[in-house]
Amino acid sequence: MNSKRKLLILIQGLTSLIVLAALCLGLGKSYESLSPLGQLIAPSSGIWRQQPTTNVDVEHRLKSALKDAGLAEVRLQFDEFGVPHLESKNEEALYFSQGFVTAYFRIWQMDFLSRITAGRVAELVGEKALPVDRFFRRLRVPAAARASSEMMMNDPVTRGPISAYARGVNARIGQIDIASLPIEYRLFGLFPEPWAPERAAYLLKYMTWELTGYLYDFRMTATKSKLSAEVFDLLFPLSPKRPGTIIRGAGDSEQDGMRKTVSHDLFQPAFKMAKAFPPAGLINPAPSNGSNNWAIPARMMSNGRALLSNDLHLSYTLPALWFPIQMTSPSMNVYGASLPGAPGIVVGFTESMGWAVTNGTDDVLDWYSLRFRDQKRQEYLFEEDWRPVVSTEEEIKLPDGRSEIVRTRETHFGPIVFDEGDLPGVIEIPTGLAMQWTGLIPSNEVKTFLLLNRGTKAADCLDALKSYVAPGQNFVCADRSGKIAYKHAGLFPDRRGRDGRVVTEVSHSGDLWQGYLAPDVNPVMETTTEPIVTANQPPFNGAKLSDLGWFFATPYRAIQIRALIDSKAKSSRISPEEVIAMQSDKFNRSTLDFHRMAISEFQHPPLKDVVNGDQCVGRVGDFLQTDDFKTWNGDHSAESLAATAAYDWFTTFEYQVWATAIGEEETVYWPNRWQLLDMTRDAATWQAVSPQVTLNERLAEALKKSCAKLNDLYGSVPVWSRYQVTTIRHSGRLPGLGRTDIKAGGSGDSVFANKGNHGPVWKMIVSFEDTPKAWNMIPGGQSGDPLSRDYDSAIADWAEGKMNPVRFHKRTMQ
Amino acid sequence: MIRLPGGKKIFRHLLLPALLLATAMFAPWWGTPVVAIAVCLVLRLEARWIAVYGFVAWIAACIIRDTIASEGPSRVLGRILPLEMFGFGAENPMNRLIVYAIVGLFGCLLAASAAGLASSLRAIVKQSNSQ
Repeated sequence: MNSKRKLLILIQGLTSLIVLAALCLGLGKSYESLSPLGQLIAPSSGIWRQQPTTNVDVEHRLKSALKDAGLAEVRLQFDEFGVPHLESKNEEALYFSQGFVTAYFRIWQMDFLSRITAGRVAELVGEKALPVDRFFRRLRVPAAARASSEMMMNDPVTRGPISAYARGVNARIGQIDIASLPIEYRLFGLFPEPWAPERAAYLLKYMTWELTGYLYDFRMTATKSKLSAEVFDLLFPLSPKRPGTIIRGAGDSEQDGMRKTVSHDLFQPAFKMAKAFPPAGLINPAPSNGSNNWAIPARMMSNGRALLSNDLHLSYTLPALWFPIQMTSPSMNVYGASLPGAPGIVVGFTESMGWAVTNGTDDVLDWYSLRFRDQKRQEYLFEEDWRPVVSTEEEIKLPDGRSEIVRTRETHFGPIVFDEGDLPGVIEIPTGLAMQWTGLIPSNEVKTFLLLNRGTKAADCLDALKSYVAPGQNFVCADRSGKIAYKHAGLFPDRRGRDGRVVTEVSHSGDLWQGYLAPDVNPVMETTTEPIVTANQPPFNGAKLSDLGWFFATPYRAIQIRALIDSKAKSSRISPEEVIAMQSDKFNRSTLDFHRMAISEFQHPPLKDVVNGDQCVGRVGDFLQTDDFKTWNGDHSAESLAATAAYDWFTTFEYQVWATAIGEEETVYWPNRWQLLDMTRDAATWQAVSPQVTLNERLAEALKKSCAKLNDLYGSVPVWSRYQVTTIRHSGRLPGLGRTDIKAGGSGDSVFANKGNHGPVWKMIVSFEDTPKAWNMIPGGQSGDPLSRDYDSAIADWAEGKMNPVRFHKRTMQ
Repeated sequence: MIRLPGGKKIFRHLLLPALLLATAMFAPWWGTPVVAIAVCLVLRLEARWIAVYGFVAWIAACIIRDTIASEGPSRVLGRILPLEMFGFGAENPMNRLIVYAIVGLFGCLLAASAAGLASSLRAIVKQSNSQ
C-alpha cells in the first residue's frame, strides 16, 4: 500500500514536472524573431498591458511635447472620421505636430516602410527579410536616398519642414513607454529608434520602386527568344495605337518634341555603379500599381465648378497606406493624403486648387549584361578597355545579435544587382547584370509636394512639377476659377531608339542612356475645356511613345470613365455626388468585350451544344445556359454570378492562348488583355499566333476547362466576392492583424479597380466651390494601432463604395 | 480579530486568489508558478484549488486590463488566434470569452503543474520523515 502510494506521488510529481517544464520552455522561448509567447499573453506584460491610441490622449501629449520643444501653440481637432486638423501660426510647430500626430498613430508603419529601401528590415523581423535587404543594398538605393536627403536638407523649401517633422516624430518616440509601445514592436521585442530626417527620402524611394521597379526586361528577353520576329512584333508592337489616350485627339497624331535631350551632367546618379535572387515578396512591385484621376470642367458640372477625382491603386495594407490630415497656417491651408514619414500632403487640395496623380507607367529601369574579364569579376569590358568594379561591404544586423556582410558592386553607370548565377537560365557566367534606374537619381520630391500644398491655381500646380523626377506621374490639377490642367511629370531616359524592353549587352557608351528627355517637353495640357481622364494609359499614340514606355495599362478604365462622364453630361450636368457613384463603378469592359465576342462565336454551334457536348455538367453547366449569363451586362458586383463565370472563362482562355503560344513559365511576359481581344478580331494575327487551333475551338476548350474547374472548386458558380476574395494584409505581414472577411465587388479593369489584394487605397473627390466641398475614403482607418477601433473601421464603407464627407476647416489664425 | 466560519481555510481561500490575481496583474508569467509553489508549501492548500484560482486570477486580470484598454487586447488576440475561421468574428462576444478562456488556461496549467510538483515534494518529504 505504502509503495503504491509512493508510486502515485512519484507519478504525480513527474507529470507535474514535465508539464511545468514544457510550459516554461514553450512560454519562454522566442519563435523566429518574435518575443517569447509568455511575455505576449501574460496579463502583466503582453498585449493585455497595452493602451490603445485615442484622440484625447494625443491632444494632451502633443500639447506637452510642444511645450517641451518651446514651440508655438497648435490647435488640433479631430472630426467624426478621426481625421486630424492642425492649425498654427507657426509652420515649424505645424510640421512638428504633423510628425508627432502621425508617429502617435503610425510609428510602426513609417519605421517599417522606410526600412525596406534602406535594406534594414531584417533588423526588425530577422533573417527571413535578408533577401529583401540584400537586394535593396545591392541596388544602392540607400546611397541614392542619402544623396536625396542631402538635397532636401540643403533646399530652403524642404529643410525646415523635414527637420521639424523629424523632431515631432522623435518627441513622440520619447514619450513611448511599455503601455504605449505599439503591438508590432511588442511582438518583436523591440523599441523604435530615433527618427532621422533621411527616413523621408527612404520612404519616397520606396514609393518610386513600387511604381517603377518592374523587372519586366528579363521576362521580355526570355519571351523574345521564344518567338519568331514576326510574331513578337505582332504581339508586342513598340508603339501600339490604342484608343482613350490621355491627350484627347492625340490618338491619330504623333507628339513631337519628346526628343529634346538634356545631358547626364544635369542629373548625375548618386554613385557611379549585387547573392540570392529574391523572386517575390516585398521586392516585386504589384503589376497593377496604377490609379484613376480625372478632372471635369466647370461647364459640365451642375454647380458650375470644376471637379477633381482621384483613386490611387496600390496593394492593400493595414494600417492603411495613407494618413489623411489637414494642415493650416496663415500662408497655407491644405487637406489630403500624407505619406506617414514625410512632411506635407502628397495628394490633396488647398482652399482653391487641387492635384491628383496616377502612375505614369513609364519604363525608367533598364538592365544590362556585362562581360567580365575573368571569374574574379573585378573588371568589366567597356569601350575596348577593362574597367574596375568598385566593391564595398555593408553589414546587416539581425535582432539576435548576429550579422551578415553584403558586398555591393558598382560599374561606372549603375549597380551590379544580380551576379554569379542569381538568375539561372537567363544569363551565363561570366556575365553579370547591372542596371540604370531613374530612382537612383538624387531628387527632392518633397519640395514638389510642399509647393503643391501652397498652390492657389492650376498654374501653380504645373510650376511645382518642374523639378519633379520620379516616379513618373500623371498629375491632373483643377482650381476654383474652373481651370483644369494635366502634366506627365518626371524624368525619362533618352535611349536614342534602343529597345528598352529587353536586357542589353553593354560594352560601349552608345549602349547606355544618352541623357534624359528634357522635362519641359513632357506631355502637358496647360488648360482644356474637355474632361481630362488618366488611368495609366498612354498619354498619346505614335512612334515617340516608346520614349516613355511600353507597358502602359489597357485603355478599359479610361474608356469607361469617359463613357460615364459623357453619358451623364448628355442628359444633364453632373453633380459632385454622382462622381462618388462613378468611382465605385464595377463595370468591366474587357470581360464584357470577351463575353460578347465568345457568345457571338457560339451561335453556330449554339452554346448549349458546347456545354452539353462534353464534361461541362452539373450546376455550372446549367448556369452557363441561362439568360442571366448570356445577357450579362459587364457588372462585377459582389453578388454577381455571371461575372464569375464570364471572368473565369476569359482567364482560362487567356491562359490557354498564351501558354501555347509563348509558354506558361513565370519567366515570360504575356501581352495584355487589350492585345488579346484585338487579336481575336483579326483573323490573320490569330492564324500567325495560333496556327493549330481556331478561335472557336480555343473558346470551347476554355469554356469546358473553366466549367470543370468551377464545378471542382465550388460545386456551382460562386458569387464574384467569393471567387475574387478581398483581403487586406498587415504591412509587416503579421498574421491576424489584417482582414479577410471583406465582401467587395470590382475588378482590375473596372473603375473600382479592386483585385482582391490590390485596388483603391485613397479615394478623393473635390468640387472647387467657394469653400472646397470634398469626399474621401481609405480601406482601413485613421489609426495604425490594431487595438483601436479606428484601425479598420472604414473597411465596410469602403467595400460598399461609400465616401466620407471631408470637414475642410477654414483658417482661423491670421 | 474576527474569526470567519471555517477559520483558516476561508482565510486561505481569500488570500490565495488575491495573491494570484496580483501576481497575474503585475509579475511576469513565471510569477504564477513561483507563487503557486510557495502557497502550496506554506499554506498547504490542495493543488486542485490552486489550479482553479490560477485560472480565475488570469481571467480576472485579463478582464481588468481589457476594460482599461477599451477591449482592444482581446480583439487583437482574437484575430491572431484565427477565431474568425470558426465563426467568431472580432466583434462577437464569444470571441472575447474564448480568448479569456485560452489565456486563463495557461494560468491554470502554470499554477496546477507547479502546485502538483510542490505537493508531491511535500508528500515525499513527509513520508521520508515519518519513516
